[in-house]
Amino acid sequence: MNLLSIPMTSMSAPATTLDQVENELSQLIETLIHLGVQVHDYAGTAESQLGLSNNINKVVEHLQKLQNTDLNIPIPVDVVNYIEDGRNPDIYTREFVEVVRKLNQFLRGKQLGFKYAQSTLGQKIVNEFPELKDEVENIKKRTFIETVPMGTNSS
Amino acid sequence: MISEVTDNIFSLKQILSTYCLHVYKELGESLKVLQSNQDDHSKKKRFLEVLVTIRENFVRLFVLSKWAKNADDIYKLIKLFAHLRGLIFEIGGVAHGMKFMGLSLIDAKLPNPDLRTAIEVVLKGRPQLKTYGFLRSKKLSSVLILKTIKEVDVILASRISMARDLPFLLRNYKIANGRITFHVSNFFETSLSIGDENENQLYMVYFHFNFGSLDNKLMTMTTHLDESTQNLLFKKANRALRVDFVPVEQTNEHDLETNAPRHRSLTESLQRLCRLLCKFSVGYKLYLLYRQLVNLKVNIWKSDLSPIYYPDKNKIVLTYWNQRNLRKPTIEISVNDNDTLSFDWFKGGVLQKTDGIKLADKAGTISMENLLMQITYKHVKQIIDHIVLQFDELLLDRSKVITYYTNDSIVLSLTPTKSTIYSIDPLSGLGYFTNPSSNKMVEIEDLINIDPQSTTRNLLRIKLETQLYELSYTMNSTGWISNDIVTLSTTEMKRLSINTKLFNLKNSSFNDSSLLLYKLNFYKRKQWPGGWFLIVGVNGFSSKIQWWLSYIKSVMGQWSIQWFEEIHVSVSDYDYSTLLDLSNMTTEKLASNLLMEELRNNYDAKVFVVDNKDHDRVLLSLSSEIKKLLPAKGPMLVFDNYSLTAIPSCESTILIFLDVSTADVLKLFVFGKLTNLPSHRMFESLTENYRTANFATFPSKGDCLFFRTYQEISFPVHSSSLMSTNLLGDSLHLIHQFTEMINLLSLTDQQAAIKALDVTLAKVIFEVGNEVYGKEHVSFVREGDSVSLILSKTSPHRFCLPQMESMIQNRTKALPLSSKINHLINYMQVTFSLVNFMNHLEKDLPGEVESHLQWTRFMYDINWFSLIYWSNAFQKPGKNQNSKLKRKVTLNIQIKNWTTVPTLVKTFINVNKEDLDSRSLESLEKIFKGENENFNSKVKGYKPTFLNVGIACSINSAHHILQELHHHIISELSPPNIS
Repeated sequence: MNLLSIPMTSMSAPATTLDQVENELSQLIETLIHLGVQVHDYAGTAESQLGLSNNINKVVEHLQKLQNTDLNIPIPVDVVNYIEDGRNPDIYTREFVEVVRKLNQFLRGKQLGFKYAQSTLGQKIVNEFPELKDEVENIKKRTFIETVPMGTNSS
Repeated sequence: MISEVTDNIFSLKQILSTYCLHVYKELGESLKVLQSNQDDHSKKKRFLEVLVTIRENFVRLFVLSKWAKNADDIYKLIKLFAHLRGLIFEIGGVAHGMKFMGLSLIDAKLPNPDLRTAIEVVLKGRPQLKTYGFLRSKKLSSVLILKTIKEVDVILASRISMARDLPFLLRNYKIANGRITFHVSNFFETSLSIGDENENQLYMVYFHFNFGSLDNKLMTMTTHLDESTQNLLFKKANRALRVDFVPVEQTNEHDLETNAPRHRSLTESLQRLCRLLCKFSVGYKLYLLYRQLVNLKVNIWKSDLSPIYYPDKNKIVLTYWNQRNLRKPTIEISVNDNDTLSFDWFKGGVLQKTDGIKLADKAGTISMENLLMQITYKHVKQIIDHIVLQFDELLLDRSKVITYYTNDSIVLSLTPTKSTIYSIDPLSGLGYFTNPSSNKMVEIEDLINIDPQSTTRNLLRIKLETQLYELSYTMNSTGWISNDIVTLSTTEMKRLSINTKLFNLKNSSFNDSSLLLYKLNFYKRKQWPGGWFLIVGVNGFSSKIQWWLSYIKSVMGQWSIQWFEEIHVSVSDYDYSTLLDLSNMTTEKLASNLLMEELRNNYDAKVFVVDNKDHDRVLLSLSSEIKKLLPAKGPMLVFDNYSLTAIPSCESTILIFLDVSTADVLKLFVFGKLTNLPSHRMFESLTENYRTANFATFPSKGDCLFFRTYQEISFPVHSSSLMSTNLLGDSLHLIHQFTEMINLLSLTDQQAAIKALDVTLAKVIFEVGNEVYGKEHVSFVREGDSVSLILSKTSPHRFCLPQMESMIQNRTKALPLSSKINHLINYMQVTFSLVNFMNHLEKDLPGEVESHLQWTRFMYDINWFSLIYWSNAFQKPGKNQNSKLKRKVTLNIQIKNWTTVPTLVKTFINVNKEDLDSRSLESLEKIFKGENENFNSKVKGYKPTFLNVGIACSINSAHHILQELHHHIISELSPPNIS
C-alpha cells in the first residue's frame, strides 16, 4: 500500500486563518499520539494495519492542509530559537518591549540635550560672530522641535 | 517613515510549509524502513522515535502559532527598535560633527594658514621656505670665532665674578675657550657655557669623572660617560642650572639695597648643579666599589662575601665570613654629608673601632680587597687574642699549652713532643690547623667552626684527644691492651683522688666542666687476671698523666673500684721503655697485691712490702752465694711466720720474692731460716732428698739452715675475686712438709725410746720401745696429703691400728703432723705393756673351760678397752633345771689423765653396772671395795686404788691388776664342777 501516493503539491486549499492553523496543529498532534499508540501496540493483524494506515493518511492530510496555509505573519528568528530551547516566547516579548522602551527614553534624553546645546551654541556663535546671526536664526527655525514636557512619553 | 525590517524575520507560512515537507519526507523514509526485513521490534522503535520527534516539533509549532497572535505588534516594535538604533548612530555622528565644528570655529578666529608651509612642516618636520639656500652662508672666520669666544669668556668671567657665594667645590675653575671649566678633584670635571649673552642661564657642555676603576681599584683617572648617560646628565644638569632671567640693572639695585649676592639665581643654580654632580659622582663611586666587591665575590671570596647595594640609601652593606656560625660581621660603606665615602665595621652588631684602617690611601685609591684584608686581619687578630685571653684566665701557665706563632696564629702544644698551629682563614673566617695529623683533629676543627664560642674548649679537647691517641698508640705497641668496655661513674672517678694540681688550672677544683676534658683509659696486660686494670688519667689542660693500678668489678651493672693504688711514674713522657718498665712495675704490684691479699685474707698474716731501696738492708746478713739464688730485682714481701701458719723451727720473718721479668710467668720465691735443727744423722739425707727444683736448703752458720722455694705460676691467674687466689699454697705446702720431717727427726733427739730408722720424702720408719717392754717398728707412709700407718708384724698394737690411724688423720687438723706422730709414739710407748697383756690373755684359758666360757676384747676408742666375758655353764634356779643361765661380765679399762710421762697416766678399771646389779658377781664388788683380802694381797705391790665401783692404778701396773681380775672372773664364771 502506497500511503503517500497523492502528491502534496497537487492539493489545493482555501485561505486559512490563524485559528484554523492552530486547530490543524492540535489535531495533527492528537493523530500523532494515536499513531504512536498504534505503532506501539501494533500486532500485525489486518485491523491494526488498517487502523495504522488510516492514521498515517490522516497525518498526511493534516500536513497537506498545514502546508497550504497562507499566513504571512512575521516571526523573528529569536522567537523560534526561544521555543526550540524550550523557553516561553512571551518572555521574549516582554523583554523586547522593555528594551525598546529604554532605548526610546535614552534617545529622548539625547534629543533634549541637543536641543539645549543647539540653543546655547547658537547664542555663543551669535555673540562671537555677529555676522552669522541670521544664519543661526535660520537654522533654529528649520530645526525647531516642539519640546514635550519632561516625564511624558513621546511615543 | 519607519522602514521595513526583513533580516532574521520569517513568515509563519514559510515555517509551516518547510517543516511539513520535512515531515512528509521523514514519514516516507520511515515507511520504507517499515517495509524492509528488519526486526519488527527495532522497526517499531525507530518509527516511534520518528513519530515522537515529529510530535514534539509540532507542539513547538503550536506554541509558535499561539504566540503569532501578537506577532504583528511585536513586528512593529522590531521596526521601531531598528529605527531607534539608527537614531543613536545619527546622534553619534552629530557629536562627532560638533567636535569638528569646534575646531572650525577656532580656525575661524586665526589668520589664514600658509597651507603649503604647513604641509612642509608636517612632511619634513621643518618649513623650507622658498628662500632656503638662496644665500650661501659665510664661513666663520677665525677672527670672528676667536672674538666671539673671547666675548663669551668675558661674559662668563663677569657673571661668575658676580656670583660671590660659589659652592666651595666649584671654586677651582678656569675660563677659557668660551667655557668655564670646574675641576673637582676625585669627583668630576665639567664645563659650562652660555647660550645667549642676555640670558643668565648656563648650560653644561662637557663632563667627565676624575676617578675610575682599574685593576679592581678605584683610582684617580678620567672616565667619560657613554652618550646616553651623558645626554641624560646634561638634561638634568641644565634643569638644575635653569634660572629666570634677571636684568643686570635690577640685580645691581638689589645689591645696593640689601648687600645680597648679585646673581643670586646663578649662585643657586650652581649650588644645585654642584649638589647634583657630587651626588652623581659619589653614587657612581659607590657603584664602582660594589662592582669591585662583585668581582671579589666571583673570584677568591665566593660565598664568604655577600655585598648588597642600596642605591636609594647610597649605601653598601657587606657581610663577610658567611660560613661562620656566628652573627655575621658587616662593613657598611656609606656617603657622608660632605659627599665623601666612609665605612663602619660592625661585629656582632656592635660598632668596632677601625684604628689605622682607611678606606682610601693617600693617593685616594680605594681598594675593597685591601680594606677587606685589613679588617679581616684585624678581626682574626682579635679572635686569636680572645682565645689567648681565655687560656690565660683558665690556666696557671698558659705558655705550656699555647703560645703566639704569629699575630694571627697560635701554637698549640698537643703532647710533649708534638704541637700544631691553629689559625683562622681570613677569607672564610674558619679556624684551621696547619697539617692536621689525625681525623679527630679534622673532626674537632669542624666542631670549632660550627660553634666558634667553644674554640678554647675544643682546642683543649684536641690536646686531650691527641694525648689519648698517642698514649693508646704507644701503649698498644708495648703490649698493653686497651679496654673500652669499662666506664666509671663520676662518683667512682672521684674516689681515685685525682690530682688536680697536675691540670695546670687556676681554679683547681675538679668541677663538672673540667671533667669533660678529663678521660680515664683502661689498659691491661695479657697475663693479668680479670678485673685488674691500669687506669690512665689524661687531661686536656696539661701533658701530665696520672696512673693507677686497680681492681674493678661490675656490681649490679655498675663498674666499681674494689682496690686501687696510684703509681708514680717519674718520667712524664710516656715513651716505649717507660711503658715497658711500667708494665713490669704494675705487674709486680699486681702480683704482690694479690699475694698480700691472699696472705691477709687466707692466713690473716701480718705482711708488708719492702721498698726497693730497702732490699739490701733486709738481705744484708745473707752471703753473696745465697743472694745469687734470689731474684736480683722485683718486689719483696715480708711476713710474720707466727701470724701465718707457724712453720715449726722457722724464724719469724719469711721473705717472698716476685719476679715477673719473664712474660706470662710469675716466679715466686719464699725464703726463710730454720733454727733448732735436729742433730740426727738422717738430717743430711733428708735435706738431700728434699732438694728439688722447687725447694732448696742452704746451710748457714751455727745450727741454722736457709730454705728457698721456687714456684712458677703462669699468667693469667684465674681468680673470681680479689681474695680467692692461692698463689702461695704450693710453696707453703713444700715448706710444711720439710719442717714436719725435721720435727719428726727432732723427736729422736727428745726421746731415747724413739729411733729413726729411715727418713725419705714418702716414708718415715721409727723404732719405738725399749729393751724392757720390747720394741716395735712403726712406718708413716705419705701419699699426697694423707698419711697411713704401718706396724711391724710383731707389734702388739696391731689390733689398735684402725683407731691409731684415725688418730693421725682425724685429730685436730691444725696440729702439725709431727705433733700427731709424736703423740702417737708416746701412746704406743705408754700402752705397750697394757696392749701386750691384752694380746697374751688367750693363752691362759684351759680347754674345758673354753667350751663354757668365752671372752673377747673390744676397743671403743684409743683410750677405752673392754674385756667381755660370758658363760652358759650355770643352771637357772627354779622348775626348769635343764635350762642354762647365761652370765656376762664386761670389764672396762679406761686410760685417764693422759701425759707423756707413763707413770702419771692412770687407768680406771671397772665392770658395767648392770653386770654388778645381777648379784652374781658379789665377789667383784668386794674386790672393788677392797674387801677381798686375797686379791688385795696379790696386788698390793701395784698400788691400786679401790673406788667401790672400780679400781684406779698407774698404767704401768694395770696389766698386773688386770691379770688378777681376769683370773678371778674366769674362776667366778667357770662351771662349779671345773672350778
